Amino acid sequence: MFGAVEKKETLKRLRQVIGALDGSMPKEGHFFTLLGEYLPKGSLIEFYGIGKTSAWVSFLREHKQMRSVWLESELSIYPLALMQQGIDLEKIFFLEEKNWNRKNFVWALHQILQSSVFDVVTIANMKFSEAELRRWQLLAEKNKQMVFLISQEPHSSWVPALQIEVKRDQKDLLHFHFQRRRRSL
Amino acid sequence: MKVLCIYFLNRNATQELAEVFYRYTPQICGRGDHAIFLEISRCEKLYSVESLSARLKVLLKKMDVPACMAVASDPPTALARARFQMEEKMDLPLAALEYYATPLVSDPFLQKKIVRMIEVLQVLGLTRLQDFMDLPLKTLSGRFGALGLQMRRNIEDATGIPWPLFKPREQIVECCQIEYELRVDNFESIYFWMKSLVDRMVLRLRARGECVRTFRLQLDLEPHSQLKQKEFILDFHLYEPSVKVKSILTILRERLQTELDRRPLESPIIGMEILVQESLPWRGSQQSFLDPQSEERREQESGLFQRLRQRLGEESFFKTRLRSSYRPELAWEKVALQNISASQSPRVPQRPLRLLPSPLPLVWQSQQQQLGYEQGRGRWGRNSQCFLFKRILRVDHQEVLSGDLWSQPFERRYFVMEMEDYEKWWVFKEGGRFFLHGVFD
Repeated sequence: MFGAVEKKETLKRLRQVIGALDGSMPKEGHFFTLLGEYLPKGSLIEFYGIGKTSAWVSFLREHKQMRSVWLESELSIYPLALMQQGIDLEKIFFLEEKNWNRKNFVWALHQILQSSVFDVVTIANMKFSEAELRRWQLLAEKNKQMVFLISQEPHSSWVPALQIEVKRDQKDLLHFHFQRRRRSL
Repeated sequence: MKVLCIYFLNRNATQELAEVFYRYTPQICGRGDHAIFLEISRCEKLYSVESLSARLKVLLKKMDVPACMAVASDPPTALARARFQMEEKMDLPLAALEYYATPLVSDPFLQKKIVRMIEVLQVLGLTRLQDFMDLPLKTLSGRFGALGLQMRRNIEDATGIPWPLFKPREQIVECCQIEYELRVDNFESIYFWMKSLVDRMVLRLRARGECVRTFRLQLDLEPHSQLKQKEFILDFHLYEPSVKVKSILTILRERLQTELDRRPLESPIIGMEILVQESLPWRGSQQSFLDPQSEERREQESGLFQRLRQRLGEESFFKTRLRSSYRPELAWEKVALQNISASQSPRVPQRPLRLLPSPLPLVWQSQQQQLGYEQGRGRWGRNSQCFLFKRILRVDHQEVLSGDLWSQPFERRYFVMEMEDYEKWWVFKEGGRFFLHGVFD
């Protein structure tokens, strides 16, 4: 009997720690109107699906003072469209590693996160291992930066605080489905 | 007049050291390789003697130069006090006479004469300057000639001695010789030696009110018969001119580590040199009262940009600016990281947020009303070899773009196609073929 209660308590605590199925978000964050919630600072947020880039742009448009950097092996974001959507090109930096040198890319990302120069760090179309994601998460948490992963497919990892699937409907509206949400550790 | 004298316990390059103190006073004079005079009466309102001495002690400690200091109303007395560490002028030993004979310049020929003179005086039982001053004035010229009179006059008052003009060197070069036994051949030991050179370089730059933009690091290798290159040279161009040792060292360390990994040293280092090739005026200012972190942020930023550009290349880290071109893929350009003027968004229909690096040929299946592309050539780098087809739901916004008539003329008919999963593609038709150019992601 005692063992069952203890097990239940342990599970409850674990759920609290991991934040799975809990639903409550940390209060420190930036409000995202489309989502109607705060996106937590110092954590990894993954957008995937159709309309992922639009979701990211909407967030940046709401927080125009934020400085952001877009990292991609070969640049696919279109600056003209960014400007059309109300993004100040002065506030956004781009980094591309055309040689596909993953070591350099990882090094650059580490430098960027460590320096805490940018409020928003966005990584597009890159797959990371669990250890790498944890490393980015720790750095982001330390420097209170938001790291967005814009991916085709979600990472199968517990590290991102939010994994949001974005869908577009007939009326061109974005819909969000939380694949994962957890509290900060 | 107030003169501060720094007397070095070891021989040093006084010109280079004197440049470090240039920020406190422009009236500086080096005496041989063991003393520097600073005329400090003009900067008294900025620094008290105590605070100035404390600052100089810190600088000397930083440069690892053991020295003694003293202040007096004239150079020879300041030098004698610094050397013999005695306050009372007339109690100074007779050896101090050398300084009164040639206060600002060290003259080896005259020095021999003075040594002989001091020996004679000591035989006569004289030990202090007071004893020398007690000698009758009339006998001095007869015994020691003009030199004796000159010394006596300088002991009484040497404030009127003309100072030579001090000119800092045109180029800042900091170098050191390394003994072979120390075996400096790995990164850690090179970094250790390099640090002191950078320290000195920065101190000299700060004293001139300048900051470094371009500099060269040269490592001299020990020559042997199989050595192809005797020097290992690295040129540095800083994104943001700097006078911060920490930021310069970070850049140096990053680059040196990468270069040494790429081409290891073939023999130990016997010498090291840092040459400042380009410097800019530097306005040292106090931290902003309202935003004290802004300076720190800016430094972090410039350091980061420098490191990224150095490792990944100039073209890899950039901002963007719009440019006028009919070709959508050429409607923007990379710009360096300085502030860019806000460009106006051209009046064109909505463009896709993601533009493919190069247009992707599409396959049209008319029966099923669907378009597809080879996934192996994938939009974002997938590796399968099959085609991905999507049914078209709606076609919108037909737009014709043409241009470059004088070079490579093109005419493209663009469509916004809504696919079965409500993804919008930006497709163009050219020469009877469809190409996927972007995605309204």
